[in-house]
Amino acid sequence: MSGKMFWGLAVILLAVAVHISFILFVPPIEMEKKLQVVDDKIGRNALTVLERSDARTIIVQGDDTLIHAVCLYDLSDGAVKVSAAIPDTYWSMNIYTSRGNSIYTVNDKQAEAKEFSIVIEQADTSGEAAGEPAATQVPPRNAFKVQSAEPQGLVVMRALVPHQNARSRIKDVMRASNCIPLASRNARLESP
Amino acid sequence: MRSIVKVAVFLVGSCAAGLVSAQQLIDGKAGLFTQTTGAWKTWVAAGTRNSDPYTRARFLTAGKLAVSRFEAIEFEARNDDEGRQLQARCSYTLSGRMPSSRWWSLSGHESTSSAVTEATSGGLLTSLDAIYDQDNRLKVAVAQDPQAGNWLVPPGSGSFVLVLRLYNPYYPAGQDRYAGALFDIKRETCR
Repeated sequence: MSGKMFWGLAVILLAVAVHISFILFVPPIEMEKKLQVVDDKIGRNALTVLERSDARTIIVQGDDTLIHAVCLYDLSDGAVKVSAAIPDTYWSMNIYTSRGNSIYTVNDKQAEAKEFSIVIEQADTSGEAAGEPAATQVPPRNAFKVQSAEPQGLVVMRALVPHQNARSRIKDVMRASNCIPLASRNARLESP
Repeated sequence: MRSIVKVAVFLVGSCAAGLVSAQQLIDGKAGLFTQTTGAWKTWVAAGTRNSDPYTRARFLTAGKLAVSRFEAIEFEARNDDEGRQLQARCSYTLSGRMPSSRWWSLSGHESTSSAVTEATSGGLLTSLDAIYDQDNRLKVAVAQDPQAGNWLVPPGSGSFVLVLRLYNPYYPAGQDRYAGALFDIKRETCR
């Protein structure tokens, strides 16, 4: 093999390796950074309606016509239940894993109610990954279940503000939503 | 000394080639993962479980969380109909029929890099405040100076990107992606 051919092949191989590494590893790192920002500002398993400045940092969405609420779910202690209070406007909820994959989406028309609940659980429920014993994680009736391959991720709710006068009213409705570990919810229900 | 230079050139050149080729695909310049309608482009697999790595990288490297095309579809235009980059010093007329959706927004964003920087966005026009003509068509002026009717201010002073988001888009029966025409983008004057 001539010297030129060797270097040519080496350039192609390294370029392909860099290309693949960038595509595969940079997006999850970016998502992890986003989750870290939410963790620092809000914490885990807590749903917060974002102010505009936080929405621009976390959601990176310039539309002031939307109100966003986020929850960093952490399944290390078991399943998490998300209860949504749906305003009388366009509303949607997306669930993303820590790798940035969207695993579930629903909007107000599909929810067909003013309240909507969903339980997020880890895809692998065997062994220690499940955290709490299954008996303490009985999902509430009529709650959909979503399985996340990763133990952490982000729940994002979006609601349209049809006019600025409605902003505070829609925010108030969204503030009634929550995101709590199912184990602690069941413990609360069982306590006298 | 000569071989050190050779290795350095090899490393820099290979890494640059890998990164540039990745960025080209992420930006949809090869057209492999995008759908193009006139001057508008969309990432069809965005926000789905089986989203390809390039589409996922496209959104996450820009700090954005993709939404599935059944929930919202996002089109972006960086050029006018004649392929010239959109410039804030020029004025444009957008005309056409808005695709059916529950609501939509049209906004301009500064294009300082390949990713749309939402933080430096300009004006915003939505279905809530748009004015349609008698044929239900929409005409939007994108210009620095105030215009009658629908008017959008281009952001910044350099090149910019137009972003059209359709929330809850209605797809014709049997189709799962938007197949109709979008707005024409005609350049009027430049300063």
